[in-house]
Amino acid sequence: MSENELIGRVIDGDESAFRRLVEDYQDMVIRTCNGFVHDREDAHDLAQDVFVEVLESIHKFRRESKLSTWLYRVAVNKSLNFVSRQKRKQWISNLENALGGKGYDIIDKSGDSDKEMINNERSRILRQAIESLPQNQKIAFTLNKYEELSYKEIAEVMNVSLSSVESLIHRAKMGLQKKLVHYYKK
Amino acid sequence: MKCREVHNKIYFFIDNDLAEEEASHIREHIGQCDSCRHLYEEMMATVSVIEREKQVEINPFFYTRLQQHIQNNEPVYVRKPSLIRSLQWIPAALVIIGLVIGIILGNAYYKSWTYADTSDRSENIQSLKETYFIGEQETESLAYSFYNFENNEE
Ligand SMILES: [Zn+2]
Repeated sequence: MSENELIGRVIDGDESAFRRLVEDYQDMVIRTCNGFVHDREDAHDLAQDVFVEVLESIHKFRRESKLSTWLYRVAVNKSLNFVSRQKRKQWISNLENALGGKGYDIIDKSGDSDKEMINNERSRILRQAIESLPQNQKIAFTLNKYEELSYKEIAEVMNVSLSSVESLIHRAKMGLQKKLVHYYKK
Repeated sequence: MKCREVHNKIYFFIDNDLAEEEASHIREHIGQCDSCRHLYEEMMATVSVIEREKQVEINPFFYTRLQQHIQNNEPVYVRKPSLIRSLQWIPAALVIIGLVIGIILGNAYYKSWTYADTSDRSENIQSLKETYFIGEQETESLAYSFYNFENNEE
């Protein structure tokens, strides 16, 4: 079945076609969401939302770009919205702790091995550095590194030129380098 | 090569973005400089976290869950975009009304906040939380403009 045919059948309400679409693209969508939210469960939840949206809006999809390009866009938008909501929740809970005098929750890591602890710490530092990048740099970098999209594919998803993608990723790397060097320099 | 030059290229070195000549200068420097070698090892380990994290195990019941999700919510197979669209404005309208009321009540609220004793505090935080989440609608539409804009281009 061609992509066009598949889309046509989903629009006509054919559930087996929708199932096929989900099964063809679920890995891609979940991985993409995970690249932004860094949590397996949250990435699955977001991917569910992505496919609900696909079902609701596929009749508006004009088929001039590839289906995957559209799916990437929906996944990126949902993930960014989620991350900004998370940030606000974090802000509230910090405020609550500060006002309520409960103090910050200290995660009990006594069960973790040293190696795991070091890895968790590295992971935290990297996320923080990526999170501090300007939004478009973050999108381009994440699609390239976590989803292994080529610059050309990223250009299509973000609807910018190839040279813009090159520049975004270059600047993202410069930004990360600056943060990480600052952090690790003795 | 100076340490500073290494600091300015180390990420690109790790990512294999450098020409061989430049890379070999860095390799040489790292071989002789403890501090840059330490930096290289730490950064290398941190960047390789990406490789580990990008492997996600996919839940085999993803579609089953999605089906339930769809069945329990609105009948998404029945498309009524215009109705859904107009309904979508209701929360936005409520948000605006809420904001206006919020601003009007702002002063009184601030006073009660300032003078509240400990027992009232959790309640106040609760209202603060709600006020705060109103902003969600705005962010949502902002982020969506990226997507909608592109849809128009198609
Ligand atoms: Zn050095």
